[in-house]
Amino acid sequence: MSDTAQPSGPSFRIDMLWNDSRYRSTFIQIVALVLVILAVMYLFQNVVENLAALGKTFGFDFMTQPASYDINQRLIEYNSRSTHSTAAVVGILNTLVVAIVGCVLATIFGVLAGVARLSKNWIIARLMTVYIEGVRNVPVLIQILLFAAIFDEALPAPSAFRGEDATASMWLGDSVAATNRGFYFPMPVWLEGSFWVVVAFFVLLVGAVWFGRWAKERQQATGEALPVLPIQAGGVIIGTFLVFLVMGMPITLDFPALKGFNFQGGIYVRNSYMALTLALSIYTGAFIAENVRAGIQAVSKGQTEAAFALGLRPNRTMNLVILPQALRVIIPPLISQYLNLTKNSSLALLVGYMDVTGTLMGITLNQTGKEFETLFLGMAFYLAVSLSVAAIMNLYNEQVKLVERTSAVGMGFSVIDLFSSVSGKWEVLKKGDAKMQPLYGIRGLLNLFVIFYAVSLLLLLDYTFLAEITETRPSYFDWPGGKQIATLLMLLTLFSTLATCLFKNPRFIDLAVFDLLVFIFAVAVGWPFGQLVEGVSGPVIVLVGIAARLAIIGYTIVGERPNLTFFHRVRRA
Amino acid sequence: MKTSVFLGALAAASLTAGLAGAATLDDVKAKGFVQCGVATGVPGFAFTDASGEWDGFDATMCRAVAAAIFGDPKAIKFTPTTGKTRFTALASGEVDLLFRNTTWTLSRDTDLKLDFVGVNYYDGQGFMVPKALGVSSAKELDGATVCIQTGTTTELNLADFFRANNISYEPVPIETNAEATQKYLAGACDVYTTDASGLAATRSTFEAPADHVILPEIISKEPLGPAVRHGDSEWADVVRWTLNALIAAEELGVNSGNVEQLGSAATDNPELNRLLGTEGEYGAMLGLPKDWAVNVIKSTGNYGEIFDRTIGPDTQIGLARGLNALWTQGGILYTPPFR
Repeated sequence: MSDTAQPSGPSFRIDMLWNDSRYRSTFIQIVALVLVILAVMYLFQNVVENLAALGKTFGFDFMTQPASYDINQRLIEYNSRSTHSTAAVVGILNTLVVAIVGCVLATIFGVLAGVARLSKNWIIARLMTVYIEGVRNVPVLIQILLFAAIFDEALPAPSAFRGEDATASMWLGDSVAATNRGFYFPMPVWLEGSFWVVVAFFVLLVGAVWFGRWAKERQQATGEALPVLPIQAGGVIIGTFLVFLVMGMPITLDFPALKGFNFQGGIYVRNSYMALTLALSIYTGAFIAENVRAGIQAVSKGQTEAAFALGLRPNRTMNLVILPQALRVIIPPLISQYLNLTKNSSLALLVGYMDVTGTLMGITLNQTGKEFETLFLGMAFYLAVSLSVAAIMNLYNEQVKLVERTSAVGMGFSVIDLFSSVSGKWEVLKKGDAKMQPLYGIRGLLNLFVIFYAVSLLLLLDYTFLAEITETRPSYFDWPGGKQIATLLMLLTLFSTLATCLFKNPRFIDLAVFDLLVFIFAVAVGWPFGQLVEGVSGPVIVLVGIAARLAIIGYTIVGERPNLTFFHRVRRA
Repeated sequence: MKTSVFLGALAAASLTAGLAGAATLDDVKAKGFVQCGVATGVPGFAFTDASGEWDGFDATMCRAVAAAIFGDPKAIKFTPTTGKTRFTALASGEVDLLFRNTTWTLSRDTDLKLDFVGVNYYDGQGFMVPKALGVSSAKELDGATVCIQTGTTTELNLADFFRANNISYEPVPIETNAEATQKYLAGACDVYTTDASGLAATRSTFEAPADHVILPEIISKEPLGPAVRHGDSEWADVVRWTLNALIAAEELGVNSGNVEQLGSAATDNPELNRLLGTEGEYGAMLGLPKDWAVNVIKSTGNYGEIFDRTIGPDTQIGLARGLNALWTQGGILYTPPFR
């Protein structure tokens, strides 16, 4: 009997591919993959053929041609002689401004409304219900148009401020003007010596943070609580003001004044921007409010009762007990709300706000007729932004979520395992583990690393997309393929290294190594590092770049104290 | 899978575009009506009247094309298009022709793959401002806020004009004429700029048209004309010669009142006979009925009649013929001979 149980020789038959469960799933996956590839190839071929039939070519040459149109809100140097790619960047920056300010405002509105909706005060709770249910159930498009119409029709035209019998007047002692074209605010003017005031402000700010930590440690050691916030705020404000006085008041304000057709001077915030940002943040805020309410209600009532029993007041119960636990429930849906807001900002054109949909996918598309290219670039941009927001929020979520059984062990391979012989065995500890208590907190050299990667990323972005295009420095779309790929790879690795470093994720070490490899690749393909920073030669930047990256990796692997404070990897003694 | 879905949409979009390529005349005859792209609503040029029917200078000329093919000016469907959507609508085959105050430019003729088949209105870009501003020349507009329709040549002319005169301005891009009017009247912009004909048309709808002036500067040449897809010459010929027939009819003194009588039998004027199909086979050469021009003029009138009825001096719009008068009367309207 035992003879027959042995498989005799190679017994693989072709029908085992779909009959034998050992091969079946692999076989099906391969077939599916081949089908998908064939389908993609067919569709791609179809596109190319049909474009050719229309007599259109596919290419990005038009991006280096002059755009020939003007854009009202521009955060970088731009005029009608600038290229289409510059116009696209102007639009991208406008989109980002709306997205970032909108997300911040929406979070503020959402948290306030979400907490207030649970208030014991009947009127406040009902008012918030009306806000949330009213705003959530009306299309955001209509709300944007409503805001724009209100600004257009209800606010006075600049001419109403003119003359003896002016029908409108400026607010706050002639410093703020609200017109139907936009809002004008006073703008600070930085005179000589203002640099030191700014420096003093930041030094004091850092000092305040350190004071806060010291006070916290002291409180944990002795149980004595200091009035931290008043001391911090007072120190920063009074200190900065003293330096301001000593330097002879080097910062003044430039007030807007009616001149010609419009107000001149000051900061001009256009109504199109105001309407879009307000409508988007109020709309998204209503959704966030519901997330916040759900998160708070997800924390068991026993927690509140226990906190009350310990003598905590309702305020502190909310801040110290409920919200930290509620955040775990709130953050995942918050990510998609941020993404929604960012994508909804593409409705900007309705109110004449020139975001990337208005410039690249609007006027540029219309004037050049390059539908596929412009839409492709636009989609790539929105995809990149959405994925970046999602990545950052996911890392933050990793930090605040409950540590599950799997998260402590499920790291897989990491570069650090290669260095076990040098650094000794590493052990992954959970957040909250007693062994890592002394190390917990955002501190250490990792913060310097954050600054290094952030500065590198900003320099690279600035050089690639914002810098003046000259004879010696062609536009990005004219670079050879290798340099274009190197640029994109550098952007990708710098961004992901920065994000993991910021959130103290253990994957930081792997990404830092990958970033070093990409940097070396960029040097190998001759990336023009010499032009990155004015006045610093290429070899210096390359050497500093490699040295800094090596130092960061080396410190993280063999340093005295491991800095990855989330899943602490602690060297076993 | 995301990629394949995206490419699928891409492919689907371009497939329809590819299919709509050739032999538009046959397609139009087969489906029984002409699909015409017009503006979303410019008084005098393309608008819906009280009964919901499209009317206006451009819309009537579109009807002339339908009359030429089917003998029936109602064998037509209109698609309102914005400055942004018009070219895509034409390229994708959503409309058969574009009769929508579109400026004939080199890049549109070549790069956008359109064919402009003629000029039905010679225009130029102008500026309108409220009289109360006290502005008498466009060069005094330094620092002004200007409403423009986005996706038009006016946007580019404006940038060039202000740059050449070294004065600054604040552009407010707007999608449609109606929105621009609303913003202009609310005082959210000081100036509204578009083709001078469009300004006159828009001003005619204001409550107090006299409070607004159109500045004397005309900063560009805007030859407005019908456009068809590139590479379909037969269809382009039909549209071109329909427009030419309207102009020739005015030149030869044919109008909607006398065309039936003139077209019933050959007259002493051979050119008139060739136009009205009582001599030669000119209709067949175009792939149209023999009496196509008679049908056109009978249903819409000649160029002069259309002009006077929709935008002429006696209408609310009140545009003078100016450049658009016949070449024999001091204008530049001129048609190649019918022979």
